[in-house]
Amino acid sequence: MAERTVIPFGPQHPVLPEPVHLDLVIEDERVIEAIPQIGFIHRGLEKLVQKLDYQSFVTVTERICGICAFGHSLGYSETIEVLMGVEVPPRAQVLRVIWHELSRVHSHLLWLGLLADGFGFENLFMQCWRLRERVLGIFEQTTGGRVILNACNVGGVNRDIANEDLRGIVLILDGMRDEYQVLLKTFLKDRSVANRLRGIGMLSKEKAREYGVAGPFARASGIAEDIRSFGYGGYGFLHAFEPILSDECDGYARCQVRAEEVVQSMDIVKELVEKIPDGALSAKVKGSPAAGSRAVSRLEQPRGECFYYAKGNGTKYLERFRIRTPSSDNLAGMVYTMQGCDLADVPMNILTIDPCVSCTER
Amino acid sequence: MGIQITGMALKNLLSRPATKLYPVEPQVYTSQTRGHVDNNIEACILCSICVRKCPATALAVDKEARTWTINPFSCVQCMTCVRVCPRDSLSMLPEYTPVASNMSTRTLVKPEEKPEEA
Amino acid sequence: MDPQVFIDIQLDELKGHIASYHERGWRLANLCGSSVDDKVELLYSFAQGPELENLRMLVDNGQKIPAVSPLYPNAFVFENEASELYGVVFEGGLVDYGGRFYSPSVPTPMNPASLPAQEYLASARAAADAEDEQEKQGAEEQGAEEQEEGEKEVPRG
Repeated sequence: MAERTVIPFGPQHPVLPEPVHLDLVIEDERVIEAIPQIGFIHRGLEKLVQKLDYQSFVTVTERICGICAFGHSLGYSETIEVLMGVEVPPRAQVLRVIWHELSRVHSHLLWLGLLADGFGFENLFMQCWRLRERVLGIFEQTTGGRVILNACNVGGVNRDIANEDLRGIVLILDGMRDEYQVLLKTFLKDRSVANRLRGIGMLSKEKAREYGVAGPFARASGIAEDIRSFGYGGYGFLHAFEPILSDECDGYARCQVRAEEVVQSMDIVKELVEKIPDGALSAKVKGSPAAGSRAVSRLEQPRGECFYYAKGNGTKYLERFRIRTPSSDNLAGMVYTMQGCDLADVPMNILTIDPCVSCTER
Repeated sequence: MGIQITGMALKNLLSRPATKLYPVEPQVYTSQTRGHVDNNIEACILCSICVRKCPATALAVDKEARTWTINPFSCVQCMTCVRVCPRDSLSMLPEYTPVASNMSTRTLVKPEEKPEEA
Repeated sequence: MDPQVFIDIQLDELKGHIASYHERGWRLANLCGSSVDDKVELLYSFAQGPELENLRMLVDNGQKIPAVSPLYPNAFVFENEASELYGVVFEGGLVDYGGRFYSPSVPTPMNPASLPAQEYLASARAAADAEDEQEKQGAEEQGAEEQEEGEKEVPRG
């Protein structure tokens, strides 16, 4: 039996966009076990809910993570709306979904770029991020911010997008789509990409169920779990929604699922722009959540299902607000896929799972 | 490797750069850009609703001294104050605040009201 | 909108419930603590497709809770989190980091029984009271101001 060594990996590592520390127990070049540790950027934002009133807290939820910023404000607002029984006007719901799907496009393009950078395909990385820049441009045009949108609020949205601007967005996305097809072809057809990613981090469907993984990680293992398919909120306006699946279960499948979801999100935006109803942007929210009231809600973030739980106590300060992010669900699966993989494949393995640590720690 | 994007790469070679040579080529703000908060102090009634609603506690109002103060280093440009202002005296301007060498606040003094014309 | 199902359970029923959800193939969506007076409330959420059910359980500080991570491995994050932030003691968990998962600078920062949490809550409540006071004042002044404005406007019109 070869000698066992423990190699510390992270929290600062060239392939890691975010700080997660792994103790890799290796035997020769093979990883036997990986022990994750987080807590480097724990900010106690869940505790802050007791100091900021429920309407101001939206600004804090947007700052949980720089990639899923809009998603968290949307999830928080939806939870409080359930808690207080607020009916959101349909136009606001559709606008929220448009922004959310655009965030998914930008998040996936960012991730695809990081992945390309991770396996040494610099040109692909640059092209992905160049396209992503256009989505950020749309955000700046419509909300005034590139990362923190400040568009969502309890009861509705803060700002409108005029119908002609919405059609402009579709034109921008159509232009992007042509260029993106080239990148998509590179990701799915290029031999060097396939050689690097095939067979990395295998997670069978049964194991994926057992480890309760979420998002593209689960869908790449053939689990058809997508909160969007239940038609909550603005997703109810879509005529059909089919989650993108793959049953190859490896890193390549995860790459494929995410790469195809970009096109799917562009289609969703296009369809919703045609269907967007006119009307109010925000419902009036009065009073405070009742004492002992509880609400749960789920939202499909770019990285998977995100779970929100809020508890009121009769004042305008919430008693408890909990965010269970997709990455904390995926940690167990990540540790599992790490067992038995080569040390050189560890960075690829982590990247294809895409843990968002600042979401996980809040 | 990368046969598929050769065309795109060649096109990039012959087209203008996607990046901007920033200080030489100035950044163009959109009309929506959230740069900094400004107060039309003449219209302001010093009601301090903005102070209470500000999630970053960046604002302060002194009714005695008739001043409205903003700490630009705390402000997160969330536009809450602009939305809640009952007199619409607050506005979000697209220009970012210039680089400063020390942390300072900005105070606006509301001029004394002229006596009502008879 | 997700179904809002909350089921109150006791500690001795927990194992049976969890085994039954596991058998039926439900997924553990969430496990989180929150504080109710001097007790800790644990919320277990199970999901399958669009269905979602939440189990609520009140436990005393320091009471030993059977861990769910042997059945649901993804719970090891939540269990370590609850034990570090609330001081809930889990028995038989998959991995016990012993306070080094988040490594909070003070022990159990979110449990109201801990001193820093008490100080935090006291300062938050004081701020809330002061603000309420201010708001009342502000509302009155605002009302007065509106009235004045109205009076001024009448002769102009």
